[in-house]
Amino acid sequence: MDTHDHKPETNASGFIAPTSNAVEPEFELSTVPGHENAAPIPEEAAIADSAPIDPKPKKSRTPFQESLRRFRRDKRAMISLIVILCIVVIAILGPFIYHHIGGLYKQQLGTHIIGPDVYHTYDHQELDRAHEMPSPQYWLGTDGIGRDILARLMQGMLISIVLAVVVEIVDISLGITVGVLAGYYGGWIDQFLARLADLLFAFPGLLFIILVAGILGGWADDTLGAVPVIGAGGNARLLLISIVLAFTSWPLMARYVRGQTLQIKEQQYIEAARTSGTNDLTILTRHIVPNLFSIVMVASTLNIAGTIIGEAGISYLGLGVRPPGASIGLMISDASQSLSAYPWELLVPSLTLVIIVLSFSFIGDGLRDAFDPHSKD
Amino acid sequence: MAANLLEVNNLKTYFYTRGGVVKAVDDVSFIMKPGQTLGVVGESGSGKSVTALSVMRLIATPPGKIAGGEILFNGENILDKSRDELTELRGSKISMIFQDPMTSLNPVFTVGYQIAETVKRHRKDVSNEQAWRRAVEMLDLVRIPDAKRRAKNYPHEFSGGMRQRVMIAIALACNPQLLIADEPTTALDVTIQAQVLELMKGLSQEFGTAVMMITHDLGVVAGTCQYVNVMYAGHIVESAPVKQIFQTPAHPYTVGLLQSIPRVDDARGARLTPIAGQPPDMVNIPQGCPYAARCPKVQARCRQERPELQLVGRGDQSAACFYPN
Amino acid sequence: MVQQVQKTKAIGTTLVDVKGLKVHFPVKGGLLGRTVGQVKAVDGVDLFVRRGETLGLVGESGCGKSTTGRAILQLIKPTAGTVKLDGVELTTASSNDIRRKRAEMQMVFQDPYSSLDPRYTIGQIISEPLENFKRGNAKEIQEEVANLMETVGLNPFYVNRFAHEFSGGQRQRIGIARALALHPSFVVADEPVSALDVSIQAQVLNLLQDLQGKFGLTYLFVAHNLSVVKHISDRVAVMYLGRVVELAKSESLYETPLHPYTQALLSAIPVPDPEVELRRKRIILEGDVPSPVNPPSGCNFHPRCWKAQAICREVIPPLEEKQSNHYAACHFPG
Ligand SMILES: Nc1ncnc2c1ncn2[C@@H]1O[C@H](COP(=O)(O)OP(=O)(O)O)[C@@H](O)[C@H]1O
Ligand SMILES: Nc1ncnc2c1ncn2[C@@H]1O[C@H](COP(=O)(O)OP(=O)(O)O)[C@@H](O)[C@H]1O
Ligand code: SF4
Ligand code: SF4
Ligand SMILES: [Mg+2]
Ligand SMILES: [Mg+2]
Repeated sequence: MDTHDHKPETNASGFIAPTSNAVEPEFELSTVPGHENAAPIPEEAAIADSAPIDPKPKKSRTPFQESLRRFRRDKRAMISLIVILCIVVIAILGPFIYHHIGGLYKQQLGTHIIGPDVYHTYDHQELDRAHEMPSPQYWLGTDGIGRDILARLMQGMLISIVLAVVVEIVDISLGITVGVLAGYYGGWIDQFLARLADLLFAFPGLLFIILVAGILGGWADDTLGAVPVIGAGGNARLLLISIVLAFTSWPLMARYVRGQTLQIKEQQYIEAARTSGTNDLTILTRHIVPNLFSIVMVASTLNIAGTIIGEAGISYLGLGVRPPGASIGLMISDASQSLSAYPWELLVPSLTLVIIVLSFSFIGDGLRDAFDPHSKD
Repeated sequence: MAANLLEVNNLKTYFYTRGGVVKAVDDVSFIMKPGQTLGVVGESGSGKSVTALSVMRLIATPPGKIAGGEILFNGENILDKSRDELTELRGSKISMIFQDPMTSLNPVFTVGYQIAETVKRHRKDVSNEQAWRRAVEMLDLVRIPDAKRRAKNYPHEFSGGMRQRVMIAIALACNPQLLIADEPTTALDVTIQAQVLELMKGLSQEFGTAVMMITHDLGVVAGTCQYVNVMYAGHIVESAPVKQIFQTPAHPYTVGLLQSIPRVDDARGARLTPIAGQPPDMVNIPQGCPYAARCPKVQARCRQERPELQLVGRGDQSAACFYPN
Repeated sequence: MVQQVQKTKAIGTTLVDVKGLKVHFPVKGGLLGRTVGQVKAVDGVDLFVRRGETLGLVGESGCGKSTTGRAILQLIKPTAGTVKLDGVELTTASSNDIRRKRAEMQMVFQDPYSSLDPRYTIGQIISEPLENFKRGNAKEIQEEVANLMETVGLNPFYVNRFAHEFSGGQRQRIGIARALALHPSFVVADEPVSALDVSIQAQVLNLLQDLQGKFGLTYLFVAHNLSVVKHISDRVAVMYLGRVVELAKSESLYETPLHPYTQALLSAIPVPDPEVELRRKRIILEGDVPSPVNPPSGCNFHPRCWKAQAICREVIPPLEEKQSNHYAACHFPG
């Protein structure tokens, strides 16, 4: 028995790839109480009510794994998951392939082929080839100043994803830390969380972001511009937006976590752990946090959708990613200026945004149904 | 011999779940005479509540379905009745009280109003005042102190025991012929349980109401019932007058139950004789006798054939066992 | 330490001594969450448990049985009173000392479902206390877990299974194995069979009795079912509204209850025998148990007591030895 192996995260790897025991006959947890009554081991049945369950010596499924199975059966969520995975792959690997098979363009000053590293610089435009429709060279056409729409879209998707990841890291780590402490210990930290959450709910999030982006935008351009990858080009403000979006979203996460912690805290297994001499830190990290996993996963997936829309909105307003950087919001903003003449240029980024956001929402719904079946109706 | 008030013949109530078909009640037959108190005992999951809900025609469909049999109430088959006829029947001729009185009372209406509503629903000729007077009278009858004033209170202002008494008041307001009580005292403490049982006993005698008392507590059965059905895994395994159930139990399961419960009037320290194993998985009950896996008297035949409920030669006592005691 | 196997019950000196134990929970109310009252869940409990015996603790739900058990184990900080385990005062001990003491005092929980972490395997559940107290290396712990599982009648084969695959009775065995892992001398069993079906209750009760004989355990057995308590206990304490009202040997408590509440409680239990039921006289108590927020003055049973006199309303009757080894808290016992 490996007693160090009870982090549920080990199970999380089964989130995408089906686990080895997925081929077993399915059954609903609630209606079939274990595999009782399978081939009895005689001497056992007499001493105890331990009707032997399925005598295969393998690790069996936790309720968590059961939920994953339910999730995997949710078609809508699985399709959404695949869509998101495709988008991630395209956003990360796409540019490196694309410039070899299409997407070639001549730099105005030179004639050599230029790779994806210029998609977010001013070098990436051919003013004489504006508003083109899709072609073998520019698969999704070009925009008003002759930039390759697909190249920019991939860049935009990457930004959305990087942003979502950064925001969720902050959201989850702050949310869990504060939420768990508030729920477990109560007291001032709970009060603090409650007031902060009230404040954020009362204060329009977008307004706050606009304020911060407006005030600190210039500073971000100067300072954060030095950060590689994200900071390059006009994307310096991306980091700023991430921080601001994370700041406005974690109290909600913390509130969910706090509520769940209050519930878990009342479970007798927590008291049992204390009776067994387990200290507070271990109780928090090994009994409470693992049992928060599903609620955190659901909440953060749903939050990602909001984050991506938020970024698009801010960039649309011109407070986020700056030209020549590419972001979905910025693309929508640019295209909307020539909407009547070139609706295609608006359609592409808008549709992408809708697909990303809907997919995350569907995944979130699927996770919630799978992990918390009682909340369905 | 009076006509049967309730006659259930070969009732089958199944639930079609993702895990398989749950034969919650499988081929169950019994009768109830007017004014009789029938106890239904068995472990949780043995099909007691589903039997009661079938009689009320309250099985949620889907997943449930009454798959066969008939339920004759005063000679008429309840399974043939229309929705309107059923609504008319429920609450006036047959009423039911549940384990958790809070969920069966509507929290936004006063208890007096809820009793009066029940009366008016079934008796069109009753005026509002008459209905209200009846409500107060019923509360008084179930010994709610200061009934006149308490009728204007909401359910949350009553304690658990009092709520159960309010439920009894609602159930009896229209003088039903049959009262089905599904674990009415399981959620209550012993002293409160004693109050409620005493009350139910008194009232059913006074009104001549037949009571189907569902419980897992053999003590409750002994004190309140005249006749007992013992259920196991969706079947009635023994059916007998109360004295015989306790003095000369015929089915090995009944024997096992009686030996496995500690009694206050026992000498201390005597070792209990538990029933080995646990109840079968309701989705695949093995063929043959459902109790075979736990039965100390099991023979080869028990695993092949299912024993029918039949008389054991001691008057009215019958058991579903090839080798009854 | 556990190897001193005792086959017969040798009841010895006092192991646990509780005096004047009080646990009051604040009632929060109002906008600012101020304390507006106190739930007097435990309001002056005196009891003692002798080495090797089972003390039953009965009473209706909400009377403070679980809170008493948890306060004795220092899972809740008592508001007042003293708790001595083997002569060592626990209420003033530091939290580190108490953690060390946990090896000697354990608990079996009521709910076979919520008492086992759904993410832990049986092995992880049972080894948690062993690891906390560094009882051996990984291999030794693994062996000990297998031993414990066998002791409580579980097949060690299932060590890597998760709790939800087991039935209620089996889960309760897992909880018992966890409680025994550190070889405690004192175990609080809080309604260990209340959630189980009748036919399974007997299996667990027998197991608890066997283990007591085998390891010389001392039990505080909490339950609301008087038949179960009588069956398993050497002595029984009856609680009402946060206080122990009667404490005596099982036989004398059930045969000659001295406190009116005990008398009513005993008469209310249904006996599974129709003949007995016909003959018995019931004392039907009026009304409900009062709220522990505003308990009645004096003897808190007086509003429901048919023997109450003026003095009962004013003076709290102390728990006194009315007959040899038979304690009752009543001004007019018998
Ligand atoms: N709505 C339902 N869906 C599926 N199975 C059900 C449903 N209601 C009851 N059952 C099953 O029917 C069986 C009998 O249940 P029930 O009559 O409630 O037992 P009890 O004797 O405890 O009252 C149980 O195995 C239960 O799981
Ligand atoms: N953590 C708590 N906070 C507030 N009140 C509590 C708490 N725990 C128990 N109580 C109250 O204390 C009283 C006694 O509870 P408990 O000891 O659980 O009773 P029992 O175990 O006898 O049923 C009850 O009124 C209950 O509501
Ligand atoms: S039929 Fe056989 S298995 Fe069933 S109860 Fe009778 S003796 Fe036992
Ligand atoms: S002290 Fe008085 S009120 Fe209390 S139990 Fe005794 S007689 Fe009754
Ligand atoms: Mg039921
Ligand atoms: Mg309790």
